[in-house]
Amino acid sequence: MPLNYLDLEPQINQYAQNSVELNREIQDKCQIALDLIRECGVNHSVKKEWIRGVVESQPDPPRCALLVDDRAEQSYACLPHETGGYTILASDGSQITPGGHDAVSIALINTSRLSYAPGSGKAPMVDIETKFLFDKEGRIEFGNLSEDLISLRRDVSELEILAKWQSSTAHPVIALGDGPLELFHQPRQGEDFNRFFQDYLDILKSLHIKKMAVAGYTDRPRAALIVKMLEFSVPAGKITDLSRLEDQSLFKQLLKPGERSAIFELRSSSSAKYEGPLALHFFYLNVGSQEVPWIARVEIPGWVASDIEKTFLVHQALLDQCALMGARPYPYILHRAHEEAVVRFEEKERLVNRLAIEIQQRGLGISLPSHKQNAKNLSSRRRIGE
Amino acid sequence: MNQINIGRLLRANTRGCVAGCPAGQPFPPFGSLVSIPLADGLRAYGLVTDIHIDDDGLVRQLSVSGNVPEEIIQDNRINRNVPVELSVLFVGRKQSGVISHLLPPRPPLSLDNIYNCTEDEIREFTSSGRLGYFRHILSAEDVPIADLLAAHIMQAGGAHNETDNHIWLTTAVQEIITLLRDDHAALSAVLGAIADAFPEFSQIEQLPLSEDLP
Repeated sequence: MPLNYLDLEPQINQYAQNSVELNREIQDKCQIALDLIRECGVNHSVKKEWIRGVVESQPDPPRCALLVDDRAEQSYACLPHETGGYTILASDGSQITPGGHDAVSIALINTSRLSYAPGSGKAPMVDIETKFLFDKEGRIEFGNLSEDLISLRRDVSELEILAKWQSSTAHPVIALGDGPLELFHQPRQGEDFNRFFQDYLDILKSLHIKKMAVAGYTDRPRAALIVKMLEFSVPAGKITDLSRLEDQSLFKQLLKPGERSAIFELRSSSSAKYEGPLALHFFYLNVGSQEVPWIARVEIPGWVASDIEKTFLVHQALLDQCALMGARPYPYILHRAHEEAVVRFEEKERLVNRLAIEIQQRGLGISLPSHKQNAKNLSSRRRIGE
Repeated sequence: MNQINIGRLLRANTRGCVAGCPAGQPFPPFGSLVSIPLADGLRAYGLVTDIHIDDDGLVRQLSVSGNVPEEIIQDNRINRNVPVELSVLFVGRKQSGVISHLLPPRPPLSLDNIYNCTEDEIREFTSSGRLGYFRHILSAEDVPIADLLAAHIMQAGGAHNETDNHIWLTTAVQEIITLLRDDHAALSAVLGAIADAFPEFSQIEQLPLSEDLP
């Protein structure tokens, strides 16, 4: 048995007790935050400048939101609107990371794109790109690439496959990605990281030129961007501790089903890299119901945030996609993109075996996993006749 | 009518097989006669005994979500790899041009093509021998025998009627009565199903076994 349940039992009780205490604390902080966000709304212009000033005076400002044009507590319903049709795309990617214990070293990215026009009656088109990672000299990477670098290259591929889509109509195009538009913990130090991060920015620019309405969808966001902004919004000398409060708790109170929040600017250590039309913005969206509100965060670039028509399209499209999944709202097309991109364990094993055969046929001997991996792969007990 | 490839083999044994068909394309109805070319000029014949469509978590979730647009229905039928599975009961074979109602000597292999039978093939197979293949149907397990026989007889009877061979249908019903004369319950079920399919036989359920058929 892998877990010592005798050890765990008292800890389970404490887990539950601490959860109740934390929930009480969060409820209290949520009330304070609601009052603060309403104050920001009432004094929008003053608060906008005040918060920006406080953030910019910090030597190392934390990730937070900044007010733009909308009042902070404002909500927006998705009113019926004649769109004339649109095309929606979504991409996702998965990867095989080289493991030191595998029989053969594989660095591979699998990226999918789904595209269709709602109301067309036609099945979505599915495109999948599978590629080994190559180095600068055009050779397959055999080295021990870090998971972070492979993740970055996967993120670039997900955006790139969206940018490759060719429109055959004049309909507006919405391009969805899973997760934030801002690359996590990028840019890092190092030539490789900088190179791929620049590629990412260049692809974003190309999407701007193509006039696509790009958005990154985050389900169950744990961020406290607005909460941090509210902490900065209080007058000098006053400190408000809203730690452990998440934005979604706030917006469950503020947004009715189908409503989105105001659009905020995202300020982070990398936001200076996303300049001009690429500047990162976001809003919160309630895709749930009256009984079960469900908050998602939607990141959009500056060219979408400043275009009311594109923002509306993104809002409408996300609600339509989430409605398809019924009681567990999540954009259907994003889920399907994930289904088409994911590399299952069995597929990886088949590829490893295939590569091992190819290598052996070229006289390089038999490839074996490490003894440690071999021990992990040993089968469990079985009965006679099984 | 030409043969149409309806799918590929998933798994098989000596008595039958399961084939996968893409959900977006037509597949043969229950009780249809189908064939599978094997090696060495051998061809296996079988009847479709079950048509199985699996669900998965996403389909279940979509089914209760309310209005499902046509694009999403098409996505699940065309793009997602959830084939329609046909279960087939072997009822005979053809080798060197000769039809036999013995089971194929070996089952087909994975991904072998499976075809619907043309009307000519249906007539040829069902008029060979003395309907000996009925024994495979009557001894099948986990199969709705009465409905299967009725569906098959409807298809084969229709094919024979096209060439004005109205005797085949009568002969088939007589053979069923002969084979099931000691199992009244099963015979009643089968004759009831046939009477549903062929109103001209609606009186045969009430007839003693010795009465002449229409």
